[in-house]
Amino acid sequence: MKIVVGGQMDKQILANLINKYGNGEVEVSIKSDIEAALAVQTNQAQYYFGACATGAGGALAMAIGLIGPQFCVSVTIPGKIMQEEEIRLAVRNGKKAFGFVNYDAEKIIPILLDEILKK
Amino acid sequence: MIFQINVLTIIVMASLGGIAAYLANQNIAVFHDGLRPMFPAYLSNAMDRKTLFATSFALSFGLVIGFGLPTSIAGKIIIVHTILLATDIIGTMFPDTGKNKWYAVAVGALFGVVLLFGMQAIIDALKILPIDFTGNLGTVGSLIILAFSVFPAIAVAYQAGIVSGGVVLALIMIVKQVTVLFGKFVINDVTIALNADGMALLVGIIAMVVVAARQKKSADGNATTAFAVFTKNIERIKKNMVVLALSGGIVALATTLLLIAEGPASLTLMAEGQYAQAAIVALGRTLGFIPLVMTTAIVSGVYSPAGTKLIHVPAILFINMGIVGLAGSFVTGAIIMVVEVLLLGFIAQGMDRFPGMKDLGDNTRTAMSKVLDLALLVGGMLAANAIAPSIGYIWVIGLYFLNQASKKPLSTMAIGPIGAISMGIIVNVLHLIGLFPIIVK
Repeated sequence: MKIVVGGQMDKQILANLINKYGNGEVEVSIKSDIEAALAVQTNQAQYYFGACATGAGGALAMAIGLIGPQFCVSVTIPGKIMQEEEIRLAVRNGKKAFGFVNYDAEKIIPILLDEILKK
Repeated sequence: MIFQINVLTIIVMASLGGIAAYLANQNIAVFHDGLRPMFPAYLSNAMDRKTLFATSFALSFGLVIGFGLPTSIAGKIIIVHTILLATDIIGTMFPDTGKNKWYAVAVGALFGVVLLFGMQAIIDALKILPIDFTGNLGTVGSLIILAFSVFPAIAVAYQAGIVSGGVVLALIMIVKQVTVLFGKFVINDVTIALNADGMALLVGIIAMVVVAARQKKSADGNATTAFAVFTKNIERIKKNMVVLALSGGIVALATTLLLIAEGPASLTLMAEGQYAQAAIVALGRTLGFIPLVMTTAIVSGVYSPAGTKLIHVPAILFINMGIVGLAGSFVTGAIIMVVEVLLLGFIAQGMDRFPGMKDLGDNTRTAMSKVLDLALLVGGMLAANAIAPSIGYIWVIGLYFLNQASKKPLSTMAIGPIGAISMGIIVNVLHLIGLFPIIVK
């Protein structure tokens, strides 16, 4: 299982959290948003994670542009965090790229990884 | 508020709201960087207008209410997000067919004017409270003025490690300290005092660019190939160059009239009258936003009503230059917009040639965002403490952590301004019930 960290903020923190909750089954790499989105587009990686202040701009914009909006979701934006069940449903429905506000990384990465590893 | 309400500012705010709503309605330009990439799906009929509007609303509404308004009230200038994110919503709300565009323009223009009067009305309403705390709201931005010059060191640390970041940090501190001590010259009986924060910021930004330029080409540089498929999008943006130029000119004009500011840092500096430093800050932010705005534009065929934000830099320098300044600001803004649009193709092809510059953009935005989070939070604490020395710190620190634990957390950057404004309202309530007597000094 390969996950790329693309968009903008706190990339190292995201990578550490993904490693922590990946139970040794996930290979994480940090890339620029364009390269990370291309990696998912060309199936070199299965999932894209990105964080920024809005959870949608720097975090996810390149993924939406290159992978397509149907595969992307902002899990959190200022003023709104998805419910746990909604996050799990997004993964089950085939979303591949996840954007969120950098401060929410610790809340949502465990849920995302738990559901991703079930697949 | 800092701005004046007169015929000119009313017309400019109406034009700004109107043209930005038009651009969003006609799928030409939107301000939210995350909304832009949604447009290809809409334009190819894979997404309907309702979903586009719902996305726009979801992304921007919280930022307008939770970030734009409190930051504008505390800073006394409208932060540009308040109007341009709202016009994203207004523009996408109406269908892009037939007469609907004129409804979008009308609502956008009306919003601009309502915002102008509304902001002033809010400040006036706060002033008639028994305890007038509006004078203390400026304290929210006080740390930005004194500490924003640190951000290049943090960007360099993200890009090239903490040793390089530490060196730049030391350099920034030395430049500021030396300028404070020796930055005054007397030439022909005229004393010239260099602005220490401005000097430190300038040196820091130069160091940051030098570090980025030295970065080697990354191994897997396939962005150019990926971007080659988007030439049609660039043509689409070029086709709308005239109306984008007009938008750039109006945004610049509104900046010069002190109606709007591009970010919380330059806003504070503009409100304090430190225009040269505000322009340097805006320039630093532009470096950060060039890659984001341009790459999202290339993948979507949709631009931003304010471009890469470079238009704000000369616009700030034209403040207080009378009619010449206003005309200069409008023309320069329009020209910059045209040049940016013409450069899009070059940027798309050159993405691999300057890998450090793309990283520089990401790291600059990250560093600025982090510094602003902290500076506005501590500034909010200082302001709340100035309003209520007994409970100010407790309130803002408490609010910060309550927000972190919330199911609907607001932007961290907004906690300082919201904390200070709400503290002011709380002391007035306490005063009414006799718990906060006015102490006459």
